[in-house]
Amino acid sequence: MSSKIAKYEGTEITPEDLRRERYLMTTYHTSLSYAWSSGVATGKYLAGLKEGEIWGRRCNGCERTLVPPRMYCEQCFRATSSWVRLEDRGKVVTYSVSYVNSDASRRDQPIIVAVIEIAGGSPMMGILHLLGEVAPEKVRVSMEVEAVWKSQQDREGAITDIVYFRPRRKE
Amino acid sequence: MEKAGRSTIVLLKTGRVEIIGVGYEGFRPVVSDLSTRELMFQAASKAYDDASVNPRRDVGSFICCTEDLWEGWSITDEMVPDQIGAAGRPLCTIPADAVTGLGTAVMHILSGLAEVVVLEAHSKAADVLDKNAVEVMAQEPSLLRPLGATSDTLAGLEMDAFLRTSGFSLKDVNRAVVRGKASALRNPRASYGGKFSEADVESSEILSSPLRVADKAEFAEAGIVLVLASEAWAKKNKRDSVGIDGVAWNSSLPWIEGGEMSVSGYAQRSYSDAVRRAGFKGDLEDFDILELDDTYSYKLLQHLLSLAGTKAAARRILSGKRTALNPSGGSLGVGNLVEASALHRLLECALQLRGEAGSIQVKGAKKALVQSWRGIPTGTGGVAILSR
Repeated sequence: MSSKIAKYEGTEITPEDLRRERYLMTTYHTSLSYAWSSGVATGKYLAGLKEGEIWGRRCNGCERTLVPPRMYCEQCFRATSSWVRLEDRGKVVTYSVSYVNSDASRRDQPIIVAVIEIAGGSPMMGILHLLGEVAPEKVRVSMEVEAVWKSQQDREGAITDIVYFRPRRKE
Repeated sequence: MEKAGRSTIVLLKTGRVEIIGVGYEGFRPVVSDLSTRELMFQAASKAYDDASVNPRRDVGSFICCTEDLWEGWSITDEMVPDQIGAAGRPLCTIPADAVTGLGTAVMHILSGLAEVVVLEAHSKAADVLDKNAVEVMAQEPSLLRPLGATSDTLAGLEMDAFLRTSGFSLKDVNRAVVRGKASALRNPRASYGGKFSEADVESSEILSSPLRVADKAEFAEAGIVLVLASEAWAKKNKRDSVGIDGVAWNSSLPWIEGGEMSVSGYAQRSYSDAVRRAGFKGDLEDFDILELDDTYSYKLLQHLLSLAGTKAAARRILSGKRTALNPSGGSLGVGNLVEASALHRLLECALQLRGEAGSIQVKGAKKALVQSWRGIPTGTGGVAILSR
């Protein structure tokens, strides 16, 4: 219905008007900074990444292994029971070739973002990360991939300690 | 004098709603060992055990009182279900204090939407590195924010006006701080108890005159969960419970836009509506326990005066002969739990009415009142009346 309206009543403000500051404008900049407590589960997970390890949590109720780890199982609503060290490889569950940055600007070169089901974790239990050393058109669902880690001295206990996952090389 | 309509009022037409379980975790200045989600999980697990309910089976609706800017992420709704047993279940977050959350829970039950409802709120205030930046974001952006006033500046202005118009003195305000800190010494949930003298308060650093550091509640962290059920469900399932007789909440003009400063319109109207709904015929002095908002020391007196109606009645309550005022130590003693502050007051009253308040137990407590405020620069708050 609104598509039939050619012009609204009143004075239209154009982007050019705003750019030239023809109207009173109030601009406010703030700096909101947070330092979230990682807690038990994420703390151990990040510490593991620093050592080049991926850890999950086992729920004895539903017998799933949760990765990233959580101290509770959302399905059973009970505390998870034990730590499980997982392999640093898995397979692609879904992926997207992205041409936009987080500020919505356009990328010259795309990144490939994927959900990776980690080997040893429960089915459909994956982490989101980047794919590398592979052309976008070569990526396939179920493709086996392995982690490419930063060097030990450069790791800081962050998800970016894994630079990306690449197609798994045959041993 | 502002004119305002009736508060949003919850009409309990089909029986009471009952608090059948409580749980909490934290209550420390910083809960550094648990994430927000783990804190919530611990509190929820205890509440469900207390209520003997399985959240995956028995709970029909979950409500979290939370504000995105205090959490540090947008659309917090997506971040809260798993850790309180609400994955794949009906859950809503509301950016309001827990008295409003309690009213929402009551409506869920009395409308037939759910028989058992979970109400959650938490504070991870230490995660917010610049709390002042969050508070300033609450100010009107064109006319107020550019002037550079903080929440404490606005509190100082209101406190100054309150002292000139209410009949209460700086000595009364100082005593409120001393009382809160002293009561908190006996409360295991309090982070800021202490033996303060009025001289200690007067010698604390000025924030914005006449407001001093000691007049402001310091931040603390906790997770709190209440489990609520219809009266019929509680009886049928033989649950021990505390009744909610009436809930109301209201907004008034912030004083900086013409609201009153000696009393709080939101508190007055919430109180009169909650009392009417509860069918309570007595005076404020007839409650055994009052847990009133004291985010700032003078606000305790302002809220008390608003509910008591006269300075004489407020002074009788302050004398402590008949009604226990903030036996928990209030926010001044326990800490400012941000969006969980009102739920903390409800928790304290529920424990008192159950006779489980330990060293701060008010003997023979049967009827309690909780009053909440959402903080500067708001004129929003509520009242809940509980009994057993």
